[in-house]
Amino acid sequence: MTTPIPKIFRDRYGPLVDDPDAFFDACQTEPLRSFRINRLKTTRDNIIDRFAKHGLNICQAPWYHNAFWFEKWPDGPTLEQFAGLIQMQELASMLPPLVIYKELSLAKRVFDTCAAPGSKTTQMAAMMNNQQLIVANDKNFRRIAALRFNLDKAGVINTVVTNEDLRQYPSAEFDVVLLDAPCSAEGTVRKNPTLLNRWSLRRIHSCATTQRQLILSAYDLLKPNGVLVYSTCTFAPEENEGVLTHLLTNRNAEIEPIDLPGLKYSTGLPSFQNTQYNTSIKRVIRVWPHRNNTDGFFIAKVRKP
Amino acid sequence: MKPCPTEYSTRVTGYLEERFGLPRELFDGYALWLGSGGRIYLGPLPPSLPVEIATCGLMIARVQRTIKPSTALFQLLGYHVTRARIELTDAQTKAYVAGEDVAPSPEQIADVRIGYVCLTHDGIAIGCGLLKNGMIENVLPKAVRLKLSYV
Repeated sequence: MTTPIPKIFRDRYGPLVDDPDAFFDACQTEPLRSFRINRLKTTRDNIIDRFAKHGLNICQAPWYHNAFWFEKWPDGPTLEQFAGLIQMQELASMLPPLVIYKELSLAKRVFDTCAAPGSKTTQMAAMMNNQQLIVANDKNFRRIAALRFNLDKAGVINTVVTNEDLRQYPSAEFDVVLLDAPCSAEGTVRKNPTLLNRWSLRRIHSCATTQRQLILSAYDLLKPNGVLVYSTCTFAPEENEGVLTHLLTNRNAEIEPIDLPGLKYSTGLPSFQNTQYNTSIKRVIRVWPHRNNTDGFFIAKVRKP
Repeated sequence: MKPCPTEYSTRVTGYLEERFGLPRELFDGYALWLGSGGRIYLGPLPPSLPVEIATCGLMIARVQRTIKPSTALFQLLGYHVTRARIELTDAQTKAYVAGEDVAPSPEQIADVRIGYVCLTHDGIAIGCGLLKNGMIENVLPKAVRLKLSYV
């Protein structure tokens, strides 16, 4: 049984999308069973051959050669999952590391600020071929156990884990910083339909307050010419364009354009309700569930001059 | 979590080379770290960081009276193992991954001394097992055991 979408949710987001009916339908559709091939342990051809041999049909995401989904979910877990050859990961959640693919290949030090449970950390480690250094941080000690489990499963060896509040992180310098911010998670409604029962504007504003603090701290840890990726899995402009505007108002940051061929997305909102956002916000991307059959996501790429 | 004292790291890498044929050079460019309970981690060289490191890299072994290699180690580097390696059948793989002990055939263990072994199946490194009294005892962590849909 699907959870009904609250009227206030419809009224907020209906006007922002090209096809509101398709958008709300997609929010109530079961998500794809997607996975990423772990290039630290296997090759793309090997996985394609193995699943073909076992009669499992898989489809590749048009925008990422390592991203696939099962046409029909296997009866249970597969040996490839068990051995960490593939990582179950939502398709949109693979996007933030993808927008810094080139920067990761050159980076000496990468900081994943809110890392647990580690799907993006392990993806970045694979993109870096287990070389150089990733510092994976999470404020919540209990979530570190999940991160630890996933590092072992994925075979990651270029990562150290810290357990600090990003807002009090001592001075350090990184080439790349990923802030996949804690958010109201509206974009994961397909996987967690009951979140609509708990949905409130108050929660959005509370998340946005924290995110405005986090993004300044994350930006301050960049080296000159370093790159920050800010992402959330929510639709709320207060947590997205609003947070980026706060950064641009308080720091000399530059938003860079994002190009992901094969992915359908829209650009950032110039305004929402009575709030105007910075004009360079149009360079960020919004991924809507009905456009690619994924979760909803917001991604911005920021450079420190 | 601290960089592994030399006597520990030499003992661990020596054991992995002697028993499994894992060359020490595989660990070049990385460092061994010592965590709680004798857990040894393979991670990056100690970075200059202003905060305490909670954990790092891959848990590769546990050193107590003996050295127990981890399943995570073999799932990453099992392809380099040249000794103490046992190829499981379909049925054995399914049973082992589900947490059961496995009875190997005499041919499967013809060249293998008792002790920890690296288990593989059809080109995939499954993890660590303990060969003892003609059986492969299951040493998979409970958290990773699964009822597989197929092998």
